[in-house]
Formats: sequence, C-alpha cells, structure tokens
Amino acid sequence: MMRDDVRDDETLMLAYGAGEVAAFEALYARHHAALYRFVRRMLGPHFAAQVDEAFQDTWLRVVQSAARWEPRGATFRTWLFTLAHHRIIDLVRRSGRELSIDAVDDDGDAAGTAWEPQATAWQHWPAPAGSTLQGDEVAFWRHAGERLLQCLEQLPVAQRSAFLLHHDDGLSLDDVARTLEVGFETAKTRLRYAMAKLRACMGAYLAPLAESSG
Amino acid sequence: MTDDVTPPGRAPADEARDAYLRAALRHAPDADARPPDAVSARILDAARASSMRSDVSRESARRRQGRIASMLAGLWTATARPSVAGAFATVVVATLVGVLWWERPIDEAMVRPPPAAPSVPPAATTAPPSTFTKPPVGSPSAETKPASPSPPVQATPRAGVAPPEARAPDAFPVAAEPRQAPRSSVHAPSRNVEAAPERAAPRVDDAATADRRTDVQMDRSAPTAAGAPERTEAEAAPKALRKSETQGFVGRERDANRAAAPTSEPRDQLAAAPSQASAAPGLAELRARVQSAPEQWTWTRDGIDDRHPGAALTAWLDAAEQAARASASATSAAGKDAAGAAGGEAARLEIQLFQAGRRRAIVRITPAGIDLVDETGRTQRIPLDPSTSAALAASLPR
Repeated sequence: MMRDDVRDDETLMLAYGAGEVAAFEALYARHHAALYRFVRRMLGPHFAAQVDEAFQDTWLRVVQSAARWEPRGATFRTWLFTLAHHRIIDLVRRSGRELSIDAVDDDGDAAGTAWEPQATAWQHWPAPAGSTLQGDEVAFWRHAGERLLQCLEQLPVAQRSAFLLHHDDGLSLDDVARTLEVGFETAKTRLRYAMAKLRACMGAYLAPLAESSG
Repeated sequence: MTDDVTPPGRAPADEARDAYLRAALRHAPDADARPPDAVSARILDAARASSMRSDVSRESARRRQGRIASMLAGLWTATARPSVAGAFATVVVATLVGVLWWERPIDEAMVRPPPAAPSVPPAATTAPPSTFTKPPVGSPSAETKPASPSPPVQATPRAGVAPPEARAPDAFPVAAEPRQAPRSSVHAPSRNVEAAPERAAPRVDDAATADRRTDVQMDRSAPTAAGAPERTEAEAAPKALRKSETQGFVGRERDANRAAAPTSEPRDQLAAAPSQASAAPGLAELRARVQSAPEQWTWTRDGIDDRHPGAALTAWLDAAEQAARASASATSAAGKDAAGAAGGEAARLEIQLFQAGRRRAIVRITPAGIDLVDETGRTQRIPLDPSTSAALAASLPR
C-alpha cells in the first residue's frame, strides 16, 4: 500500500487529480500517522469514538476535492490539517459542548499579558534533548507524556490546536495561522497561552517525580 | 526555561518550541497511534473508485469530444462537395433574400401581369380565309410545309404562346387545316363548311385527333347542325327543345361550329368573346322552336307589343336565317368590311322572344348585321351589309 515517492505533496496531489492512484497512496503514507495523531489528541478521550470518523472524513474530503485542487499559496499539509480542524470543530459543536474559539476569552485575561509559569519544579526536570535515555528517564518522559495529554484536555480547542500544530506536527506559526484561518498574532497568542498553561500543569505534576528521581 | 529549542532552518519569526513539552509529546502513549487498517482500506478504496470514475468520465468526455470533432470534420468534408455546397449556398441565399424582403411590400412592378385576355378581337376571329396573312418567308412552318393544292395554309402558333405582336388584331394569323373543310362537309351542311375557315385551325400535330373529334361531335350535333335543313321542323323541334334546357342558341351553335372546324383557341376564349360565326343554325332552331309551340311564345318589338308569334314573325325569322346564310358565304368572299363595321351602332330593330314568360332570345338588327342573344346572354353576331340589314329590319311588319 505504501510507496515511497520523492515528489512533493503538491505534485502528488496534482497527479492524483489527474487520475494517478499511486500518488494518493504516497500522500496517505506520508501524512496519515501525523493526521491521525492530531485528530486523536484534538478530540481527546471524550470524543475517542469519533476519531476514526473524523480521520476518514478528512481524507474523503481530499479525495473528493482532488480533481479541482490547486495549490493556492498553502502547502498540501496545511490544507490537510485545515480540513481536519474543520471536521473536529464540527464534531465538538455537534456534541453540544462549549467551544470558544477565542483563546483570550477562554482565560478571561487581557490580550498581551502573557501568563507566566510559577512552577519551580521545571528546573529539576531532566534534559529533554537526550537521544539515548536511561531506564528512569524513559519512565519519566512516559509519565510526562501521559500528564501532557491530560493537560491538553484542559486547554481550549483553539489553544490546543495551535500547540499541537506547532509542537507536534512541526508547522510554522504562519502555517498554524493559515491552518486555523486566523491572523498571525492571534495564532501566536493562542500558542503562548497554551504553552504557559501546559508548563504550569506539567511542572506541578512532575515536580515530585523529578525530585525523587534527582 | 528552554524556549531556545528551535530547529535549524526555521524562520526567525517563528515561535520557539518548548523542548520539554515536545519531549513529553514524543513519549506520550499515543505517539505511535495509527489509524485502523479498515479505515485506511476504506480511504484508499474510495480514492481508487473516485479515480476510476474520473477516468471513465474523462474517457467519455474524450470520446464525446472525438465524436464532435469527427462530426465537424465530416461536415467540413461534405461541404467541400459541389452538390452539398450548392445546396447550402442556395439555402443561404434563399434565407438571405427572405430576410431582406421580410414584411416588405412586394414591388408592384415585379408582379407578373395577368394572362392575356382570352378574347380575341372580333376582326381577327371573323376574318375570312382571304384575309389570312401569308407566313413570313423563312418561318419554320412555312419552310417545312409541303406544297399543297389546297388554299394556302398558315401554321400559326397557339394562342397561349403567341408573341405579343402576333396577337395584334390585324396580324393575327389564323390557319385552317386544308383537309378540315372537305372532311367536315361530309357530315355538316355547307354553312358549317363556310364557318370552318373562320376558326383558328388546330396545330398540325393535332390534326388527326381533331379530325376524329370532329366526326364524333358532328354526329352528335346532327339534329341541329347537319340535319336541320333537310329534316322537317317538327322532327327537329323536340330535340332542339331538349337541348335548349341546358344550352342557349349561341352555345349550341358554338358546339356545331367547333365540331365542324376544330380550333386551336381555348374553350374559355370562345366563351368570352361574342361569337361571330354564322348564326343560321341558331336562327333556324329558334324558328323551329317557335313554330313547334307558338302558344307558349310571345314576342315584343322594341320592347312593346307583347303578342304571340304568327306567320309574319316565322317568315321574318326565316328571312333572317337566309340572310345570315347568304352573309356567311358572301363574307368569305368579300372580306371583313362588314365585320369590321360591326359593333357600336344603334339597333334598328330589337325583337325579344319569351317562352312561358321567360325571355329566351333577342334578335337585334343593327347596321352591322344580326346579333342573336340567347337566354344565357351569349351573343352571336352575323355580319350583314347595311342595306341587307336595313331591308331585314324593314321587312318585319308592325
């Protein structure tokens, strides 16, 4: 099913629009894991049953739009995550849960006043850049990952999507803004708020573990 | 804090990533999550099916375009053929002309003139054989006609196709088939023989057919045309009465003349023009009918004196008949002066005959001759010289 293809995403998408199925297979192989992870983390455990549906609908939108797709200043990856984001928003809205797109209003803070973390436990964390982790370090980061997923659930959807697109999928802040269809500054603010909340949440939770392991 | 973990190559404007948060994301339990195989299979199947549908639609579109292109090519090739191109050009021109003249009044100058009046000037139809013009030298008919001992015969074009100049009264050539007169004379009395040349002769090609028709018609019209002088008036009267139920004197006379001398003139032409042939049969028949049942008849002179016919009127009709016969033979020898003088002069005498209160005939004596008008209004004119006409008018006692 999966096939290596050196062509870029846009070329593959155009090739699939021209009828080349292999191009779509290459695109799917290239992006399916990251997109599935993004959808899953965005929806969280509350919408775990809709993850597959949202993921499949996103790709079917790609299939349906292939014949008339044209690169219009955005990359295929950006467009793909935009489709997924729209689908996720639809699902959350259909569920009746409160959904605030404006990240500033979520916290009731005035725009421009960045939230500063107060957790002193951050300074006792092991270095994250180590390529070869020891047994205790592996256990530490696994607990940290579990804790981060719990902290993500506490973020508003807009801040969560900004953080995941930027930190997990590696999109630039421009692409994050384009994917979320917001302005650059809005995307930046959402990202900063998301990071601050996550640091606080993670530092408070991991401090005892770091002290015990240190 | 570790906000300095920015991958190389990133834009400076990009927000720095938190290395600790990224490390936590990398080690999260769902970091290696993959969509179920069933979901992936459905997505890929849908992609393949959509591609096939696109291929089919593209192929059909390509075929459709190919068909259209081939049709256009075939049409272009067909228009290169002269016949198709000519037809197409005709349609285009017709359409163009139709559009240009759409709702525009038709130029009256372009309206085709009505066909030539079927009536022929009296002088032409009553012209005796002696007034015939000789065919022009070099004319096809004159050159192809063999020499004949009979009187000069002039082949004439048919009335419908005659050129305008040929239809002029004085130049109207009337040809009589030379064998018509002797042939008709076998069955018809002499007055019919005399009347024959007065008619336009049939075309040479139709001569044989005309001969046969003449024979048949003469046999049918024997009681009135051929047999009338020889038979008694009592024998002729019943047949004449029966025939008069549907025809007037002039119509029967015309039939008799037509049978005796087939003519090339159209029938309607004869009906429209007043007959100028001999009216002797009409006068004879009128006299016979009056004599057969005089109690049914009354007559007036110049519109007055209504009375039953007597011997004087019968004798006068007989005299008029004799004068008509004489005039017919004299006209053939003397020319058409009398005929040319006919018409337009005041009547010297007018007799109207009524049968059962219905006017059956008018006999009008004019300086030019006798006008016999039957019940249908058709007029038959017998040219007489003025002296004869005056004598005839004076011979009827008051």
